[in-house]
Amino acid sequence: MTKPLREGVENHLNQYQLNDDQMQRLITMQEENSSSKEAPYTPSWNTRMLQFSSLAAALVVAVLLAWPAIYSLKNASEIPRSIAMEVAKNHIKLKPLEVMSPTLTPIRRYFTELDFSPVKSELYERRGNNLLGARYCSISGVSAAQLRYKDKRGQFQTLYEVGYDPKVYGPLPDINKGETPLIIIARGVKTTIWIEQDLLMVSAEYNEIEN
Amino acid sequence: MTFDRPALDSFYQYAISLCGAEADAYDLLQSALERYLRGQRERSQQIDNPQAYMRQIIRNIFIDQYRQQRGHDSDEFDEQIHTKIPDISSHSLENLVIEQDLLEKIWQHLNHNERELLYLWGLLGHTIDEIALELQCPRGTLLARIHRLRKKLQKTQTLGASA
Repeated sequence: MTKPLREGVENHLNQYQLNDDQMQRLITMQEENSSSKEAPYTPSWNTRMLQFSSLAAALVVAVLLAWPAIYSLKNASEIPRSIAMEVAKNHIKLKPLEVMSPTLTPIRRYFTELDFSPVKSELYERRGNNLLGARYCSISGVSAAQLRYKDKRGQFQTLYEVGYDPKVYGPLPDINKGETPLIIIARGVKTTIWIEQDLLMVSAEYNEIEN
Repeated sequence: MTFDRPALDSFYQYAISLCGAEADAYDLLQSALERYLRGQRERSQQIDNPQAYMRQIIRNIFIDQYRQQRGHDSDEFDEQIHTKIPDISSHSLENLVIEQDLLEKIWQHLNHNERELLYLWGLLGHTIDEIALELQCPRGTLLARIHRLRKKLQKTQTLGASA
């Protein structure tokens, strides 16, 4: 028996109905959704991936932005060691003095190329060493004065003085603020690092070996 | 906005029209409802036509999941350009009569575009313009599809009568 196509389509499709179980599940889904408006939102996989990607991108940007600070912080902790190594190396070489004088005044006059004037260190003077002379040198690429002394044992000691720039050398102990000098043993040489009168000072001497 | 039983059954029938299989249709409907409800939580504005919106979701998921798996139907290719559209109109299907048994047999041999067209036209009573609007499909393409569907149904009827 023939019938209009529209009626045939209706009859055909109406034979497909959700069974009770399927219908109940779909109704429950809707009820749970409407009753849990405050329920925590569970993002889809794509949304989670998008959120994760955004977070990762934000992290990368944050690290890139913070990198100079992180880098300088890392460097700051390595600077004293690097100074100690450089000073110890110079101390071992004992290059010839450019100016010989047991007093500081002629030495001050000699250092015309420095942007600071070498001073008598209160801390170092306590050792009672005899000044021999001085020569130009550098610490971390900055021109410095290298003063050579002889101690009571007849051993050479070196005192390095250079203008203190926190951006170059990072934070270091300032004895004028009551801070304790930093002692680092490098290449078998005992180096002592401190700030005094706005100058970075580093003394180098052979580490005492007990017999 | 929640869908009542008749609406859910209607969506199920739409999903069957697209998938052709009941199990796939239920999975499709469930996925679509999940997406609809999730969207409802995230949306602040009301949807003007929730049923059409839900069908759109069903269709989108079907296209994403099923059609890609099975490959695109070749009959979509430039049918508007390459198919001559002679004497067809939206009334072409209205005048068609068919035996119910024959329709049952031929249903599975129709492609999802043709089944979808019959669902929207036959069950929901949409006009060709309304179908074009809902499917975002050119009217000419739909008319070509109707022409092809009509030919297919007539051919099957002829073969059935002669057998």
